[in-house]
Amino acid sequence: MATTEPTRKPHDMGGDPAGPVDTHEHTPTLVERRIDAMMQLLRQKPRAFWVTDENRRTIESLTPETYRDSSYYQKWCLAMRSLLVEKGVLTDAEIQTKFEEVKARHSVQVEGPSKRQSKPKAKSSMKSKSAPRKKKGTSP
Amino acid sequence: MSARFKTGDCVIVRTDNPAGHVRTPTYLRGKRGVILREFGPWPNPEQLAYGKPGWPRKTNYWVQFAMDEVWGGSGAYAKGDTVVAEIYEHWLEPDTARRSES
Repeated sequence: MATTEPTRKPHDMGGDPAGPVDTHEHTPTLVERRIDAMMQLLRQKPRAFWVTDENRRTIESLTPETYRDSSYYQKWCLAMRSLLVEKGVLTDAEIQTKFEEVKARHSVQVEGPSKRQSKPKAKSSMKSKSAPRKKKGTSP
Repeated sequence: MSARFKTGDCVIVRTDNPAGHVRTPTYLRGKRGVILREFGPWPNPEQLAYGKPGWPRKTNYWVQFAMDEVWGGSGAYAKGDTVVAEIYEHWLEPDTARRSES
């Protein structure tokens, strides 16, 4: 059974010491609901860029540190990002560029009341994509 | 395709350790269990995980394990507790040392 150790991935944690599990429910935050909606849109047929098993495979491939330190929906975000690149929907450079754009927009918003722009759906989904990384805890 | 096992059959989980996405947790590999229910053939998730169609399909089962078998008597569980896991057929071998418990 010692042979099972080398490729054991971070999600495969059955039997590891973990302490008590917090099983309390919580109301989904706005960010969590956005991420959930994005995932559903990306996986909606006939578009369906990937299936749940691909999502799982991607999350299991996170480093043990990232896996441990990321919340459930942060893991979804990381998976979405890497699958969007893997499937050729977006390039890493495009995502980076959008990140910078959103970051800049946020620093502008600090000065005045938020300027709400109605943008096409695809773009607004990119906006919320960065939310869990940069603006955690802003939702109710 | 017909199912290799039926409810009540004694099985052993394979100790394979393949790279890539698998649905069989490490803590159950090599453990002896009993088929609780058979769910028929499903696209193989180990193939679906890589964008493939998942052929050939694999029969999925609920397999029940005694907690003592899984954890060897150490752990916070009550006597007689069991754990049930979904395991695909290619991860199971017949447990020839035991008779069917049906």
